[in-house]
Amino acid sequence: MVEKVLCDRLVQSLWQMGEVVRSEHGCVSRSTSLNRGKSGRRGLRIGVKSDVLGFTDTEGCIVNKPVQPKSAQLTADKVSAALSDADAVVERHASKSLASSALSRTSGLRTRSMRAMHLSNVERELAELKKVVAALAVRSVVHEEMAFDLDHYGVTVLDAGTAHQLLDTPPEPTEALQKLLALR
Amino acid sequence: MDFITVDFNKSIDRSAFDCEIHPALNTYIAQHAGQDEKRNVSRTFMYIEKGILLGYYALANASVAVDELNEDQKRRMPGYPMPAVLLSRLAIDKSRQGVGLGQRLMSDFFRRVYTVSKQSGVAFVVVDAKDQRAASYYQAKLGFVASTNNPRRLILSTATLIKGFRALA
Repeated sequence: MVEKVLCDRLVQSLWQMGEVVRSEHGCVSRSTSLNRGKSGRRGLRIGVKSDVLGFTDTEGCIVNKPVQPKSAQLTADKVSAALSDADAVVERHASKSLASSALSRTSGLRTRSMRAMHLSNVERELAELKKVVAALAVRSVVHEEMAFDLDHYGVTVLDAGTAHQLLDTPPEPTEALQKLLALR
Repeated sequence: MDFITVDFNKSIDRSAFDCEIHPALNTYIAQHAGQDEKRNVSRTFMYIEKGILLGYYALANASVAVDELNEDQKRRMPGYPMPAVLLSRLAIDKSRQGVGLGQRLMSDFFRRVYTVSKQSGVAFVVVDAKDQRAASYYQAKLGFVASTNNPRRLILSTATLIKGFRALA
């Protein structure tokens, strides 16, 4: 829900950006574009720079499916901090976006009047939305990482050498274990 | 074999049970153990005195996967995950802590594994240590080894257990 609202808001801003660029420079090309992959998963192709998860591209980064996230290198503290920061950014902007969505539903003229926004305002809003998208990307990657850890946690894995030894040449019970087994 | 525990009994008051150290273990026996029993997810065994629950443990089946088999090991060992019995929870009420009841429950658990191993294949006994102190006890005293992916998930060969019980006979 939050992601949908934010994406709608981003789309709206990009359209406004396009209107402003067209009106101020007399061209119709856009500096940003939206992609939808074969799987139907929404992918936002925008110029986002984020060093939180090791993204290095500043152009053309698929934000919600980052290339080779180096999450394995993150410590638990870093992951928690990144998630906390991302959550704060997302929550703040989600509240704002939901509020403005409600306004746009009540006032039909608002969307039209926003087209007249100055380029700098649109750019500022777009910059904010880029931060939100980056935060969403961080949150989604961290959540995926957590899910992976849980999956991994459910499986007990044993070193092959140790397993071989335990199966074929099992150790004698320790003295403490032998005493324990005798307890009633 | 004789056991000191009885099968899970929902008519026993479980809300008063308090192990003091890990609240999750109190919540489990009070709220979730019955559901797990009903769904056949795990079996809980209770230690009861005068109608009062003083301790319990829960066990379930599990499997142990082996990583990176070399060519020799591939010939000698099964390539699929091996069966195990998991001691998922063990807790003692605060009124009976420090008098050896935990060890008696562990012994009871091992006897159950030994019994199961006569009817169905059990290659390993797996325990989840609640904290580092418990993990150290299992490893240093009872001979468990740590799994590769989780230092608190500990493994003992069932063959070692069988040797121990045969020595008692």
